[in-house]
Amino acid sequence: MWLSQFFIHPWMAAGGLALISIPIIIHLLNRMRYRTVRFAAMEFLLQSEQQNRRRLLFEQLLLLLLRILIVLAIVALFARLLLDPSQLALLEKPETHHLVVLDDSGSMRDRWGDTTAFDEALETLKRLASDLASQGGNHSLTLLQTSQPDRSATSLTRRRIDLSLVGELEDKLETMQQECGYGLATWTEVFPAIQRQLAVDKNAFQIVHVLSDFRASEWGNSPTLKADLEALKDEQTIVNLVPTVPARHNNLAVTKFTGTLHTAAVKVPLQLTVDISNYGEAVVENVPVRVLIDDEPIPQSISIPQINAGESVQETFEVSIASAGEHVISVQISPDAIAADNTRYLTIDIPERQRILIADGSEQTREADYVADALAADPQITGFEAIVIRPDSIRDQDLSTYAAVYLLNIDRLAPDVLKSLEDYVAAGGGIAWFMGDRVDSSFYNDLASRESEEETEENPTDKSAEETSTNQAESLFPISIAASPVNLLRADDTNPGADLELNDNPIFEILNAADGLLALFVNIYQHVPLAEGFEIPKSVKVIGRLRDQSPLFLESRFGEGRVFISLTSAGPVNNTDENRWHNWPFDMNAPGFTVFHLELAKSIANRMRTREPKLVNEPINIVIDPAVSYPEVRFNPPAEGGLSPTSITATVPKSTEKSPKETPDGEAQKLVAEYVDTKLPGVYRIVTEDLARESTTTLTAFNVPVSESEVEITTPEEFRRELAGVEGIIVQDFGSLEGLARDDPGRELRLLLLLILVLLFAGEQWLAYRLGFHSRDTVSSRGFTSRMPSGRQFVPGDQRSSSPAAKGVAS
Amino acid sequence: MIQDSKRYLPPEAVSRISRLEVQARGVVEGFLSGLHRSPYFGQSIEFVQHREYVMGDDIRRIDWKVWSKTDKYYIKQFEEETNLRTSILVDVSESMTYGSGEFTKLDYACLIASALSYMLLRQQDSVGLTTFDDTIRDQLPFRSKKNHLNDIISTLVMSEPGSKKTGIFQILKRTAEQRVRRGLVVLISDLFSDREELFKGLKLLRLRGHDVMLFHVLDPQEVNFEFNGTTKFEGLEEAGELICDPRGLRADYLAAVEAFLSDVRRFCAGHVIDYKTVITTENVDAVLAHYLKHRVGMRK
Repeated sequence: MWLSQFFIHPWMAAGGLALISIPIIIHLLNRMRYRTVRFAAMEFLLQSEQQNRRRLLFEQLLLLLLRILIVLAIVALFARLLLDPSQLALLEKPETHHLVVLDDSGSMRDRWGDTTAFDEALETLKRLASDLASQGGNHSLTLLQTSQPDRSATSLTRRRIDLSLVGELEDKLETMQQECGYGLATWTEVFPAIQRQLAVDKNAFQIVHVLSDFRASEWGNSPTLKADLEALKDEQTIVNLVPTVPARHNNLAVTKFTGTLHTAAVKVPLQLTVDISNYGEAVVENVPVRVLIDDEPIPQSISIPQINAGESVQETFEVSIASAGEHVISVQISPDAIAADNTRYLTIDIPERQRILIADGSEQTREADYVADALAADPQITGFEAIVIRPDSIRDQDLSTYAAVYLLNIDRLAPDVLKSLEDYVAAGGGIAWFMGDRVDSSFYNDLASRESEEETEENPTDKSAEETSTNQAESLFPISIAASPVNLLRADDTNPGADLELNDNPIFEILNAADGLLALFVNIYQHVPLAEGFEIPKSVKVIGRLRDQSPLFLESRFGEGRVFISLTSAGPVNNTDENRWHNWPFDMNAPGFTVFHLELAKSIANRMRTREPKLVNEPINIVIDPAVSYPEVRFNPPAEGGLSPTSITATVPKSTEKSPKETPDGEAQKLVAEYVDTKLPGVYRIVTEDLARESTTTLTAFNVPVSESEVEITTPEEFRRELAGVEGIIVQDFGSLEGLARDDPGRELRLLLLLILVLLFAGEQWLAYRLGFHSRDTVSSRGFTSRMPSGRQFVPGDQRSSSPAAKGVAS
Repeated sequence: MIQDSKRYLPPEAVSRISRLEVQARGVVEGFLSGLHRSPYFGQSIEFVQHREYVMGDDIRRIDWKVWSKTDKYYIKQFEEETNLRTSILVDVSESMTYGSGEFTKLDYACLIASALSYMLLRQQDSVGLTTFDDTIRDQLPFRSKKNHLNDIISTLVMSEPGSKKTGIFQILKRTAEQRVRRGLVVLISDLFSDREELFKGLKLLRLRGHDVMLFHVLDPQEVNFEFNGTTKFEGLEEAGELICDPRGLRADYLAAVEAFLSDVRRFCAGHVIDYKTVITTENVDAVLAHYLKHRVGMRK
């Protein structure tokens, strides 16, 4: 019914409209019902009528109109008129802009009962919109999601809040329930985005509604929270904080899942480490951990006996993968409040063997044999395959297929070999230098001289800086060595003591075991000392020293790769006992040679070939060489997310578009396919095709950010304490949406109607008085008085001069 | 004709006559007894001069006091004994039949005429009566006998107001022509006629040397116009009709009435005509007082 838009009781309004006829009928009846008077002084009456005809007609009609309006006002009052001020420009109030900031980070997936924090937020948004729509008024809504602070949903930007929007929201929010992200809410980016939205219309009254779980890790501990919120609100803006989680829930999360993936090989035990954190408030016992390889659970059962509240427990275990190629390893714990953080994924492209290239400069390559035996005596067990070559043959090798390169007792390297080694290490490879009797110090010192002089000018004696240095070296061999080896002086031959002082480094784990007991049995007889006066640059870290404090083992970073330097030999160099450089690996009492080299290989092995898991919302960039592959790349998101596969054609990256000259001549321009829709955690399968239409599938794992698992929330009371004294910020309790009625325009116009009614009555009375006759005097039966128009008493002219006789008569 | 009508007077008319006579007597007697000294007694026996007796003179008029001193017969000569001749003109047109209260204007006019006649006859003045609308309806000659009052009252009572307009000029002109001897002309009317003709007629009377008294009879409603509610006004004397809410017209109506009264009042003052507005709710005393005041003024 049309009237129901405007009246609470439309039937009363409909009936009331008929009442308009009452004053009209009365008016007409008055015109028809008259009494007849035979009158003598018609001359004057007609004269007066002639003068007043128009005015009388106008006043009569005005009076009729006023009476009709009075009836209408009374009807409107009883039928309870509702007016939408937005439809009346005069009553229209300034726009109130509601900027709803919807937290769609991973923690909003916090589930309890049948609902989640995100569902609650959507419900609150719906309630807000429907409340405002039913109130009427000039309200508009903008929805901003924290996952995309700079991209407000186009359909919900400054949309007028009315019933049609509420209906639209019903449908839209139903689909949005599936859209809660897994990523981080980067409030440092969200606040400026809010500011930008607010700045669009500074004159409007604006309310920023923040619908979030307000986790303590982001809000409670934020040093800038108060300032950020205060920066938002001003005279025209208030901030409304609406929590969507009633209380903290227990949550266990897999916070870390790593392993020695870079040295993994088929059927070789792969060591994996999982961290389980308890973010709840209670101790959790007997936490079962499921490990799945390619979605198949491993037979081994893992259980963590106890995790205290707020603590993490690390569990290490080994798995063995039976076949080469791409594999997915995932670890799961039991479902709880936040389901997404109960699983973490790893992907691995596992080779049959990890190949280690060993280049030996000596004639017999005996040292290489020792090292090869240490690394790959039984490749089934170690997973390494050692290839021993002469240094000059390095140029014939595709270094990228090797996990690490050992350079043993090499006098010097050809420049092209050196260049390929540098490229290999810069791209992530690892090399280990071992000295020997053939070493040509001039070559090495030439290499060392490439290290920038600035580095040496730094304070080299600062041991702590030296120890913690992570600076990039600029040379593959960043230290200068003396021209010839020296013997380590022994104070007492019968009791040589410990020759090595080793840092706490995984490489030396076996030697440092049992308080360094095994290291006691390792004797270093010869080594190449540093050049006299050479200061170790900051980019080089000394990880093992001799007992005279001269450095023996050093490591540094070059590009993405690692460089290990041993200033003593890898093997015996000579068989003669006198010329041995150390008692490894002959002395039965000096163990650990094999373990040392295995650990060293693991330490320096190329990590770039493994794919570290990414965090959700990070883009996947696939580089395509058009000379090898077709530019079409197919991205298959995790099957459980319901997303369909997407094909993307790789294009020239924007950065190189601008400077194409940087591309070396003759080399094909690399193309990049970027896939950004990685909001789901899980494994994404990326399929590329080479020019022979052979497809290759690579796997990339996406995990949820650890911080989203921290479910401790900032309670409204804590907020209020924190924001005490700050005006214009409303902190709601869970489930409430109060204090926003500031802009209630009073849609039911009772007061206004009453006022109008009073004015109409006053107008009607005034007009009726003006048209009507209100006698103030009574006509006496003796003599007469009359009120003249001017208000003067009418006195017959001949009585104006009163005579004595007349006075007598009057008495 | 008058005699015939008297002979066949209907009982209601007789009742009205006697009531009017009683009212007139009551008014006049009551009025005169309230005066300390009547200025009209002895008017006709005032001494003027002595004259020597000649044969034929009434010996009752010989002044014996002079004879005793001079031994000659002188008679006293007094002022003329013949009293004032007063013509009373009463408007009996249709407009005079309007009355919102106890009396119509005609009733009131008749009462005024009766009371004046009684008072005049009582002091031996002769009174003539004329009733008129657009013509003369009835006319009584001048007489000073006391029983003349009966004729006057009968004529007034029997006067039937017609539906004719007031043709005042013709009446005044005719009166002026018929009344050769100068006297007092008393006009009792609501003056709802042509204003120019009225003024012309009055002017004519004054030119003939008549004293003129004008009693302007009005109804209170005509002066105050206190009608309420939608009313259809039907004009008397074919003055048209009007349906209106009288409250809205009142102000301008009163202004028009006041303008009319001012006009008449100004004219009368300019032509030494004694003018008196009388409202039908007023006591007739006032009219008589006004008349006596006028008479004193005439003598002096």
